[in-house]
Amino acid sequence: MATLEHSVPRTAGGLLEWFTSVDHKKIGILYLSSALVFFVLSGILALVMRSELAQPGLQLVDRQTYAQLFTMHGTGMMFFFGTPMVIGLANYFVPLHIGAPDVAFPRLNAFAFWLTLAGAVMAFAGFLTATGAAAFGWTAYAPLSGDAYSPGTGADLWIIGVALSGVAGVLAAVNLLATIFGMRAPGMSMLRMSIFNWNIVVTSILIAFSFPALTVALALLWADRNLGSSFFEPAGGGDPVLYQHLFWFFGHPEVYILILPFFGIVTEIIPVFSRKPVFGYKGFVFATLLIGAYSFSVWAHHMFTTGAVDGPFFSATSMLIAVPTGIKFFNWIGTMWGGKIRFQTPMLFCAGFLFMFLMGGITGVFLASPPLDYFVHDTYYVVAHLHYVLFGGSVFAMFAGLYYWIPKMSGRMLSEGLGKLHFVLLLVGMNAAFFPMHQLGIDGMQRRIPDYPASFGYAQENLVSTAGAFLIALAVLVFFINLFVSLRRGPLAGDDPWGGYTLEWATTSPPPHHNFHRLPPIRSARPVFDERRENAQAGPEGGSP
Amino acid sequence: MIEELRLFVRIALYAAPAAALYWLLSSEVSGTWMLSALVVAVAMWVVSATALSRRRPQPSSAARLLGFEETETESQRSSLELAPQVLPGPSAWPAAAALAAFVTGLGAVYGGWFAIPGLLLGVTCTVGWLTQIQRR
Amino acid sequence: MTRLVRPISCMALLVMVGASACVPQAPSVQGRAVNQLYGIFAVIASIIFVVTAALIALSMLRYRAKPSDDALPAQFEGNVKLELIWFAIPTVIVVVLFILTLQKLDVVTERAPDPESIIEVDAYQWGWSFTYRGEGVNISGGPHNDPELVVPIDRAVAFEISAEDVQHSFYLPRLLIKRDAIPGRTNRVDVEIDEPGRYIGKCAEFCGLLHAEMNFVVRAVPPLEYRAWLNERKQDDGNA
Repeated sequence: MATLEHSVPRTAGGLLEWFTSVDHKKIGILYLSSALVFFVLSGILALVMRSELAQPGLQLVDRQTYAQLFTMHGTGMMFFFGTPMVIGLANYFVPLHIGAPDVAFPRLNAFAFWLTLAGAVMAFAGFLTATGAAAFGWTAYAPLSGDAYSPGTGADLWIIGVALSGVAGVLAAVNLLATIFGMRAPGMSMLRMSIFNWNIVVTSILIAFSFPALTVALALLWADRNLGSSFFEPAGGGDPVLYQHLFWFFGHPEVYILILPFFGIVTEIIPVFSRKPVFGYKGFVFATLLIGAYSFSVWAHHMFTTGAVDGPFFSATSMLIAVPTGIKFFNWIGTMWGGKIRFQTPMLFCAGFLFMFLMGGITGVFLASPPLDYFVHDTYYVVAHLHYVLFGGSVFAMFAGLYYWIPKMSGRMLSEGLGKLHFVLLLVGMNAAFFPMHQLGIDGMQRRIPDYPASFGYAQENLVSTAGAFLIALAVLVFFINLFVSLRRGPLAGDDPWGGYTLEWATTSPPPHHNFHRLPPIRSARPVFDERRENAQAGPEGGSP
Repeated sequence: MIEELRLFVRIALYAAPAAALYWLLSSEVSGTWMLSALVVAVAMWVVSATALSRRRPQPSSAARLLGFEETETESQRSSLELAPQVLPGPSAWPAAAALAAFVTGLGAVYGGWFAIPGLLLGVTCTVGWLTQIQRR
Repeated sequence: MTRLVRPISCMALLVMVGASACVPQAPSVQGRAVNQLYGIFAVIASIIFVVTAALIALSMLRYRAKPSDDALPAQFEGNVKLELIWFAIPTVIVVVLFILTLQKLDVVTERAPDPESIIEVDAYQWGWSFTYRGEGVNISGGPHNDPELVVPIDRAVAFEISAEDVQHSFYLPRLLIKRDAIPGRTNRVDVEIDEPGRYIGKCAEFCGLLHAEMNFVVRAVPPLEYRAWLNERKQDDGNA
C-alpha cells in the first residue's frame, strides 16, 4: 500500500471559501446544490403548468406565461439541473474512484462551475425582463425563435445563457477526461475502473463532441436575431430544418449524457447491495461504448415528421440502441441473481429505476418507428416517454446515488424511514403523473398547449396527472426534510457504511482535502472489497467481509 | 494510453462508415457534414493524445486497438506517479472570470456597452490567474 | 421456475390487451396500417416488458438477504455465453420490428398516382388555408372560426403542406397521421378515408400564442356528395 504525503494548502474559511475553493469535492457540492436549486425551480414551473391543465379552460396563467413556463421547465431541467447534476457527481466521485487527490485542472474546474451558474442565472433572468423569459420551447426551433416572432430580451438572454453553460460543459468534460486518463492510482488500469467512471468517460466524450453543435446552432440563431443574417429564415434563403439538424445532433447525445452516468450509479449500487461483483463487467463497458457511438447517428428520429430526413436510416440506428440497453438490463438482473440483496433506500431507488426505465425504454422503440412517430410525435405520448426515461430513469437513479453517497460527502447517514417514505411517494406520484399521458397522447392531446376544450375528453387523465405531480412535489419535500434533519442529527456514517467496493470507501467520510491518507492495493475493480476480504481471512476473529 | 486511445478509434470506426452510409442513403448535406466532423474531431483526439502522452503506445496491430485485453504491465503501471505533490490553493480568479463572461454575455444581449467592462474584467482575470500560477 | 410461466404469460396477455385496446381503429387506409403496426409493437413490447419485469421482480424477491444469514454469496463475475444470448435476442427482435416498420412506412408514405383532389395546406400564425388545386376553392380560418374542409371517402386525397411564417404541424389525431408544415418546404401526405364523419385536425408543433386554438375539421362524405359540395362552393366563390 502507498502512503501519500501532500502539502495541504490553507483555505480561506467561511463563505468566501466556497467562492474561492478549487477542491473538487467542494466544487462537486456546489454543482449538486445549484443543480438541486434548479430542480426545485423548474419543478415549481411544472406544478404551475399541471395546475393549469388540471381542468379545461384558462384559470391560472395566460398563454404567453404558459409558454414561458414550459420553455424554462425544459431548459432548467436539461441544462441547469440534469447536466450540472451529472458533472457534480462526476466531480466529487471520479477522483475518489481512481485514487487521485483532485481533478487534472482544479482552477478550470472552478471556472466551469461558475460559468454554468452564470449561464443558468442569465437564462432564468428572462423572467425579470418586461417581456418575460424565452417562450419558444427548450428546443428553440427557428424561425419561431427568430426576432420576428420572439422579440424581447428574454430570448437573447436564453441563447447566451444556454451557450455559456454549454461552453462550461465542454470545459468540465475535458477536465474529467484528462483526470481519468492521466491521474489514475498505481494499478488502476482502465479495465479496473468502476463502471460509474466508465460511464463518465463516455458521457464526457459525448459532451465534448456534441455541445459544440449546440454552440454553433445558438451562435447562428443569435446572428439571425441580432445581425440580420438568415441562416434559418426561409425568406433570406435559409433553412429551418438546418437548425433542427444542429440542435438534435447535440440534443440526442444530451439525452444519453443525462442517462449514462445514472446507469453508472445503478451499476455501482446494485452489486454492493447484492454483495456480488457486477455481472459482466466488460459487457457493461462494451454496451456503454456502443450506446455512446450510436447516439451520434440517431439525431433525426426527433425530425421524422419534418419529412426531410431519411426515415429508414434513423429508424434502424435508433432501434439498435435497444440492444446495448438490453445487455445492461440483463446484466443488472444477472448481478442481483444469486446475491443477498439488502433493500436499504439506495437499493429501493435502484429497483424503482429498473421498472420505470424499462417502461420508458420500451415506449422509445415505438417512437423509433416512423409510421408510429407520425402518429404520436409532439403529443403527450412523447412527454410520457421522456419523463419515464429522464424522471423514472435519471431522477430515481440520482436519488439512489444521493442516498448512497451523501453519507460519504457529509459523514452522516440519511434517515432510512424518511427515505422509504420518499421512495413510495415518488413512485406513486410519478406513475400517476406520467402514465395517463400515454393515453392523452394516443387520444391526440398535443404538447405545449395551455388549454383544451372539455369536449375532447382529456379532463380525467389530466386531473390524475396533476394529482401525481403534487405527490412528486410532496416526495421531494420529504427528501429535503430528510436532508436538513439528517445532516444535523443523522447517525455518523463511518468510512464505509454500505460495505462498498470502490476506493471512496477506503477514506474517511467526508474525505480529507487530498482525499486519501493511504490507498489499498488495486488488483481488481473492487479494491476495497479485496482488502476487506484479506483482512477478514488474516484477522484473528475472522468474520464476514 | 492504449485503452484510452482505443475508445476514440472505436468511435471513429463507427462514425466513418455511418457518415458514408448516411450520405449514400439520403444525400443530405448537414448531417453528413456533422458526422464527418465527428470523425475528424475524434481523429484529432487520437493524434493529440498520442503526441501528448509521455509513454507513446507501442506499435500495435489493429486487433490490439480493437480488443479489450490489457497486458499485465499496462495494468500494473500507474499513469501518474503518486509522488508528494502540491494541490493548488484557493483562488478567486475562476469565479471572477465567470463573472467577466457573464457581463460580456450581457453585451451580446443589451448591446456592446456591457462588453467593455466585461472584456476589461476578463483581461484582468487572465493576467491575475496566470501570475498566480507563476507565483506558485 | 416452470410454475411461474402461467402467471407471467397471463400478465403479458393482460398488458397486451390493454396496450393495443387504447388506440382507436382509424377510419383510413393509412391509419389502419399504423393501427396494425402499433398492435404488433404493443404485443412484442408487452411480452418484453412483462418477462423482463418478472425477471427483475423474481431476482429481487428470491435473493432478498435473510436477517440471520451473513455469509458471502457466490462471487461469479459473468457468463459470456449468457451475455451473447441476450445480445442476440434483442437484435433479432429489433430486426423484425425494423422490417415491419419498413413495410408500413411504404403504405403510410405512398403517393397515389392520381388523387381525387390535391389540397394545398398553408399554415400560418394562427390558422389554416386549404386550397383545392385546379378547382378554385379556398377554405381558411383561425381560432373560433375553425375551417372545415370536405373530402371524399374511398378516394385518395393528397395534402401538400407548407407554412407561411413559423413551423406548424398538420395533425389529424383520429387518422393517426401528422406532418410538419415548414416554411420554404412542402410535405405531401396522401390519405384515403373510408368512413364518413367529422375528424378534428390540430397543429402539433408549438407555433406561438394561439398554438392550442389552431384547429380545423375534415368532413369526409361520399364521392357524389363531395362533387356536389365542390361545385356549389365554386359557384359561391364565383358569385362573391
